[in-house]
Amino acid sequence: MIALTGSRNGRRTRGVALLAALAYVVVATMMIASGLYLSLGFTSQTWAEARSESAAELADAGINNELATIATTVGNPPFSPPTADPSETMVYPGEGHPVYGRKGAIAGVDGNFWVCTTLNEWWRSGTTPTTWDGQTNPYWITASAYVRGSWRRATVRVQKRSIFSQYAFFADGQYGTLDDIVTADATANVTVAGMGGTNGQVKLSLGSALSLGNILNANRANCLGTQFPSSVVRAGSVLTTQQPPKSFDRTIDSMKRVFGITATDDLSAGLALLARSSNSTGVYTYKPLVGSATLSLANCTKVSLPSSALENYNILNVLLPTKACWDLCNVKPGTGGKVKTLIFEPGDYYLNDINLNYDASTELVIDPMALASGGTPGPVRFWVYDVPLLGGSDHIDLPVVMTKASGASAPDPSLFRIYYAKDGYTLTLNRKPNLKDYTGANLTGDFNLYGCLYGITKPTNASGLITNLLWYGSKVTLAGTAGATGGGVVVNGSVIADRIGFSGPCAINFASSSDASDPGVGATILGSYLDGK
Amino acid sequence: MANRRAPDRRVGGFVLIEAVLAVTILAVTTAGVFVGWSVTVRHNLDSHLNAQAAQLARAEIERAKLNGANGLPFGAYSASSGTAAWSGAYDATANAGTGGWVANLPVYYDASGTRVASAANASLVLMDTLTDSGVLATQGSGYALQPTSQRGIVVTVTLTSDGSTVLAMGTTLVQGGL
Repeated sequence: MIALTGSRNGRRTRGVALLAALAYVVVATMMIASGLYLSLGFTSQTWAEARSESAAELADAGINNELATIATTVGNPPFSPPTADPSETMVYPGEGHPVYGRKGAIAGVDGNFWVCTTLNEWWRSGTTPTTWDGQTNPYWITASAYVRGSWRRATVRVQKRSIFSQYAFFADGQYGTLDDIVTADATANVTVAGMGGTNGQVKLSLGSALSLGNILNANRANCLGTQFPSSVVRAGSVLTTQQPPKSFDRTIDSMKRVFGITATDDLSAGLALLARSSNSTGVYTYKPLVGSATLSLANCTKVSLPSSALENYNILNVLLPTKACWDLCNVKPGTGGKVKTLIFEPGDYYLNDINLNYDASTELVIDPMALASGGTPGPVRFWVYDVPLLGGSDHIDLPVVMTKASGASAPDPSLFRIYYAKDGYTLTLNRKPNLKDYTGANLTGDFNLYGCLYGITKPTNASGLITNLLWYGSKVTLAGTAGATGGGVVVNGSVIADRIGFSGPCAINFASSSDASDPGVGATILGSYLDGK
Repeated sequence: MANRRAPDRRVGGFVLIEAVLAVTILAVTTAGVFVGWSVTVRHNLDSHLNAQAAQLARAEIERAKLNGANGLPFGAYSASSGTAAWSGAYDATANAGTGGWVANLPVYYDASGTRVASAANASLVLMDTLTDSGVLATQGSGYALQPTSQRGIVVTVTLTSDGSTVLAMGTTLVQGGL
């Protein structure tokens, strides 16, 4: 109609519909494009957030994976160093190197994590990571994770967990079906509160009575002999098994690590420890002529152990009426001049023998509270090592007196350790019958030891040892005596050894304890969790 | 008149062609708009479901972490592999409403992330798979955990519409770990 009104009007209106249509196209395209752009952006962001969250969970998985890895071995744990695999090409944003650590994944989940264990917070300032030395506390576990374009990183500050935080007792040895690793003789009446276990064969003599908590029969792949039966496990506790053995560090290797001894041979390491020991600086007795038996700096004085043999009788000449180490002690006030006291302050003591008969005139005091020296409280550690093993087995028949913190009901088991490293020999804690105190009165009750014993001298699943019966690992025996004049031996802490023996009434009351020098097993998170979103 | 009419016929023809073209362009464009709109709507819906799926999965994993390695359900132990497996999900309505981990059953959610009773009104299905390694075998077919045990949990969220997997998110739990 417009075109019919005249050619000028027709020319002016020619193409208006097309222009309008094209304008519509432009506007519609822009709107749809904008909508699609926003929609795709939203979708992309949604996916990115989901992947980021997935990466965060993967990073946490990496840290947990490393914790489990570190827990696999005692003392010298495997861990992931902060180095990049030569074939690694992934780079964490902002870093100029391939991502550090061991690569891992979770089946069924996209992405990977890389985890490493270090002594420093390298990720904080971009400094070169320092590999954990397997000993120093605390340290860091850091995991980076990548899921389809999204990176996350998490890190935790951890510290070594003590081997004495797991088991009431564990016997590490396993030398074939002719060799019994855990023994209970016919008089044994054993109660254990806490988890126990063994890598090896168990022999429970007829007449023995055991009441045990949770038990782990480990090393089923290698140990073909009889292990703990379910009949000795108390109701409510569980008997478990595992195919691989529990792996423990040799005592001497722990010692090397604790003291940073670089000597590779054991004898040199032992001598190095002797040179660093507190034998001449940490042993005290009462001052002469003081009026009070209260342990204090005012009442006590330092002495020096005459040798590295802790003995209360002269084993070289039994005819001599000497008290060996106790000869240098002064009498304990209030005991009528009959009792001499040897006091061990916090420190490390190198001993090649412990031969302590019961003798009411010799008193052994472990003083982690440092009351006698007025020093700083800390652990007392005995390192029992003897090369070339001239001294034979060891025994403690004395009650071990241990100081406790003010207000505490009992001494702290984390403050006393006996590390036993005499291969082929036994450390026995005895509570013998018919004992009398210095007044002549009958001694009653159990002998309680608050602390932990560690005696591992053979690598886990050492082989070929049965051919030489003299060299068969270290053994710890708890030997109480039944009857009115007897008593039990009670360890409040933990016993870890190649072999463990029970005789008479005895008990182990597991008390989880941890000291920085203990052989480590796994790690404990100290609470510093950082998520580098 | 003949000389004056000739241009009009050309104009009329052009108008017709122009109109046809315009209508065609409008039609095509409008169709494109609808297609684009539907794509946008689908993207938004997908994004919304993705976001819900991610939140549900993350919440499930965080719930597992709060329960801890020892607090999650135990599955069936295989002596041959030395591992154990469990599948199921946390159901807030289980155990008379107190909630709990229910084996072998998925949990359904609608598009807003609200739990629904069945697949009928659901948009998403959530299922957990627990794989335990480094465990201790107990008497019978049971097992126990130790510090070296690892409990891998994978949360899979699928669409009820076609059964396709929206996402799988997972982590590993250990005793004393994160």
